[in-house]
Amino acid sequence: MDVRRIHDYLWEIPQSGGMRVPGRIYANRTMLDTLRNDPSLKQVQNVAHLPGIVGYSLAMPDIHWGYGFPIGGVAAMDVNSGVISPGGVGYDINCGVRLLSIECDKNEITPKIKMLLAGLFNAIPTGIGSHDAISNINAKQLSRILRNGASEAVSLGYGCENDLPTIEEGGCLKAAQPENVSHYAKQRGIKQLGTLGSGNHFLEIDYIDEIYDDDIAKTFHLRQNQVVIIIHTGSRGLGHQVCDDYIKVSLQSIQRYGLSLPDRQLACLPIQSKEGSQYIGAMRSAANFAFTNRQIIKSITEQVLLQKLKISPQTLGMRTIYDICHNIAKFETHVINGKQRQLCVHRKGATRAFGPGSPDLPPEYQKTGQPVLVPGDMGRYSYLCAGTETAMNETFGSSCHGAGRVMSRKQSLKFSRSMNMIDELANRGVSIMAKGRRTIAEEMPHAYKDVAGVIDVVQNAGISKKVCRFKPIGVIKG
Amino acid sequence: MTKSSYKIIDHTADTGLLIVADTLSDAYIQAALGMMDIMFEINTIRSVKMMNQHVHLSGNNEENFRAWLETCLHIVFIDEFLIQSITTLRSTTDKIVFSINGEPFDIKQHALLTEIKAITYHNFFIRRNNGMWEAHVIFDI
Repeated sequence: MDVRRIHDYLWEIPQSGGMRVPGRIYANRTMLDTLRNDPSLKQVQNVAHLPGIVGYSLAMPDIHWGYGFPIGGVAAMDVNSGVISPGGVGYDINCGVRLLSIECDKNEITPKIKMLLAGLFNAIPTGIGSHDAISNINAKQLSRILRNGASEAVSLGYGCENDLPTIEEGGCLKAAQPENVSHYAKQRGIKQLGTLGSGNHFLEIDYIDEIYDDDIAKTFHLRQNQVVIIIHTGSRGLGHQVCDDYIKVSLQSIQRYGLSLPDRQLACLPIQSKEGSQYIGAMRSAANFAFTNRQIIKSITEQVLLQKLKISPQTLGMRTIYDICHNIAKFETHVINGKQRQLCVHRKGATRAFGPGSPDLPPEYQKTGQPVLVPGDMGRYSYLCAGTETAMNETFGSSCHGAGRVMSRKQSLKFSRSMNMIDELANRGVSIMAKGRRTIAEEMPHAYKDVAGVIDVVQNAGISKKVCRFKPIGVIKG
Repeated sequence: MTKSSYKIIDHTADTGLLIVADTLSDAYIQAALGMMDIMFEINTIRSVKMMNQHVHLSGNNEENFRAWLETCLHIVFIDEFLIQSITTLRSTTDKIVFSINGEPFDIKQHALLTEIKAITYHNFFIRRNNGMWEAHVIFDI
């Protein structure tokens, strides 16, 4: 495949054949050399075929193979002539990350980490047979959650109004249409509201071990050695089912809408179609479910910490720094060739990274740009960055979302047999609680790329700015 | 691979199944057992209760197979019933009736290790080949 260097951290697949736009990949040379043999580059090329695509088919440096769209893919479509792709959003609609801070330092929390993890592990269900988190939700309440998002969790007593401004979109995608979410999706949702999920979902207690930008860190109310909590989860079975339902609708509609696709997993719907509109309404509902889910888990986390640490809420001082989506499609206004255009921006395994001055950010982040949360694996580190003007100019205000796997689960299981995993993590200063040995083995650090390399690319490309690095103290996994 | 079996497919980010079976109903059974093997420690699942499941073969092979896999996810996540074994009671061209043995999910006994979120369309097929049924499915997990 012809790939040309734009600069050391940006590469272009020239427009050719059925591509409507070029492809652009944010990566360093070493990553690109690896990618040349990876089908994800072909996927970047395929996405460029989609009707109404604007600018470039983009890929962030954590790019890896996905279904249709690569993970780490960003594609913006004209709202009038373009399409929306359920596969371009992903099965886990609004899979995302919530970052919390507390007014405790590493030295206070580390001696108590096992007690805290045990409390959190018992209190936060993972997804089956556990209904203690939020029980007896009826259909009407679920509809309100799907329509209103995180504020509905607050109404139900989970967290407070102060949490909402620092959640992306205030914790609610407007114009959600719960009536376009299938009965089966709602059944799955009712069973799983307030649950973490399994696999690479987690709740992690970290501390800030390095600060790169003092001013931004101060604005984010963060300091060296402060303890933070990262929650990674999404829309659970409800979102997965919405995606599945509308992939079916999209596949059935390909011929009717005269779509010619290089990969049927790019199945999509015209934005200005009845089915497209239905998917958008359902997707927004699923996104709101995920915002609600993270709000509930935040609230449970706070209650556990208060109980175990025996301190007051004021002393704990839990704060929502930010909550981001990294599987979503959003309707946004961007400047293209000097003109404002309404676009539908797909971010699949990519994070919104709006720069300073963006009206979509809360007032306190207007000067800094949006917090961009980039979790790494459970043994090394995660990063907090800020959005930039360069991101607004080049990537529709988008950046990376994580590290990506280098080993399959089976490979990681095999590799883990040669070590004492708990000791291995303990040597890194990390305590863990998980459902079973297999879960830990599949998610060990050796199974993942080093997220530092991904951060290095976005920093050097100018699409995000490093603010600080977190190191894990303890993690719970479903 | 021996007759009527499943193999869990290694995949960097997700996982899946490759199935070979003598009959269509056997292929369905292997798929269900393979899904349980991905999601749970199967030696913790006992045969305590039995239920019959009617599967209507109203679409093409792939549509029917997908519907069956979705039924299995429904049994696990909505009915919260874990499948230990399945036998075919009756099989015709438009219907299969299975007898499913297993037990209700018990949080003290069972752990959901890997949640199958969805059945992808990636290389999804079920077909006859050299007198056997073969199927391939990748799950989003």
